Amino acid sequence: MMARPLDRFPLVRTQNPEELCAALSRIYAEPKLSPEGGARKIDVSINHFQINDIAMGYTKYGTGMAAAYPENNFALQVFPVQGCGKLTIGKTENPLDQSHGTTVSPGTSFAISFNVEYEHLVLVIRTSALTQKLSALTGSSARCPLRFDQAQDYRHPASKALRDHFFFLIANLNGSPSPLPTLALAEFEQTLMVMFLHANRHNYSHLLERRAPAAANDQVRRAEEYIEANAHRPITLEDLADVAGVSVFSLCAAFRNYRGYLPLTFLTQVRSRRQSTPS
Amino acid sequence: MPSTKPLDKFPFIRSRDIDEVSDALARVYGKPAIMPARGVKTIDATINRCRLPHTTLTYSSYGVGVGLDYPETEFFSLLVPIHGTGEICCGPTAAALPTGASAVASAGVAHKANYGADYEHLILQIDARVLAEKLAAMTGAEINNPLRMTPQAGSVHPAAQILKQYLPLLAETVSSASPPFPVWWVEQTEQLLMTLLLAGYQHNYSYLLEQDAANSSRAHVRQAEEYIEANADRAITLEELAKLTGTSAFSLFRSFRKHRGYSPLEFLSQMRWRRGETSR
Repeated sequence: MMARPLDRFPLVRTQNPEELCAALSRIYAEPKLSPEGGARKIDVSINHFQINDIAMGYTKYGTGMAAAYPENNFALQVFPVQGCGKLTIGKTENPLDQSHGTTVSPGTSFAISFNVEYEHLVLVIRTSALTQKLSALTGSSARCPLRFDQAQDYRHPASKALRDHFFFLIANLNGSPSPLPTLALAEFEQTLMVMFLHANRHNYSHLLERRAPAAANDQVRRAEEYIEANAHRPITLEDLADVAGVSVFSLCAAFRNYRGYLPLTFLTQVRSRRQSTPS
Repeated sequence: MPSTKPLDKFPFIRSRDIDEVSDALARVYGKPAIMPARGVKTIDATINRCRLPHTTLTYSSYGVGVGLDYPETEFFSLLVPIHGTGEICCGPTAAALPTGASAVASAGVAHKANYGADYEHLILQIDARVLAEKLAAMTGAEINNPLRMTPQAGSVHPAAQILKQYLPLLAETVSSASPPFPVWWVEQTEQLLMTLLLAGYQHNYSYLLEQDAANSSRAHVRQAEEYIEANADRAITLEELAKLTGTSAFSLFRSFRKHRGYSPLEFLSQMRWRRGETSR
């Protein structure tokens, strides 16, 4: 049988609902579980691995189930891998299937229900660490609590990137013959937090987005606008230099500096993006 | 339908002309000499190249057997073959590059490489200055002598293994990013690449990362634990603990592992989860 994700780090294997509740309450504030149709029979496997401020979990209940979770001091994101279900926050129902997940903001209660085939991976990030990371990135302290958009579509590039990296790390934790050095794990943790803040829209997204354009200068912005408007026809570096009002050399230097790539790389990306999105 | 190669969205050169390819490579490496295998007149080169602020991801294949003579550069190159077989010679040592292996060419060291006709690889290049800064931050040591990496280690370190597998994922991720991911995203990714390279491959400063600091004793562990207990309610970094105990972050880790079987930050997490529970 193929190993399930994080099998090296079992939290609980049980058919007893009370034992399950006791195990879960070591991590989450105690949830209320209602197995489908009042069935008392469950067959649960939960794996759990914690780095420092991030924990990753795998869950399979082996029965249809509804569960209500009270508030916690972390944000979490659900990545379904089998079956389907829904996650409800307040009055909003979010679908759970292989291309849709849900993000739960810090300090938010939620209810989850799913069918018998359902399995998911979950990424849990401590609120204090996430807020601290956000402040470091935006350069200002986050005064209001972080609030994330709930629905996640894993076909979107940024969401997919987060999921791919999360799954990659899990596969390597399970498959590596010797444990990863803690420094490497800590760096992966930072990477996942940054990706989480990029992939999930939240009430500080605008501050993070402002950071990049603010760092760019006018030349770069003018050239980018021109590229966006004229990507369908041939564009030369000289055209762009004219628009920006600088030499080709300075324009390339400015792009290198503020964007990390060259003007024509951006053009290529804009064009391939448009090809891949049917108009 | 044309076959797609990694990083196709970042074309650098497609050419059958040896001089043209040589000129293109000269923009990156100074002037490498390309020597096609005997009797071969043309090559069929595909090189893709995605530049990030301090690192570059490259895909290349030459379509024929070639030898390349690289001059000294200002970056470290990690070669990860994804098809066929090659070899790299840094000074007297030759390292085989079958698919699944990897090798590092150090900055400031001229090297030669031979690639078979069906050889394809990904290359990660990291700016030597930025890598030395990262090393200094990780070890707390001054890096006076230039960093030199061993082209290939006898045994494969788990961090090297994960880095090798990570490059194709990163290539796919930067290719699908539209619009390009923000600078702060890229910067963190570069930090990850540097940590994995420095931890996973042998170099003249590896001992700083490995030394089981005999001087970082149980006392350091106890000192760190007391500090954690007193400050668990606020953010504590490993660097802070290292500074407190007067050791490097890495040796403090080793001491915790040795004496306690877990890391300082695991201890902190346990403490927090525990408090979180009792305060409820």
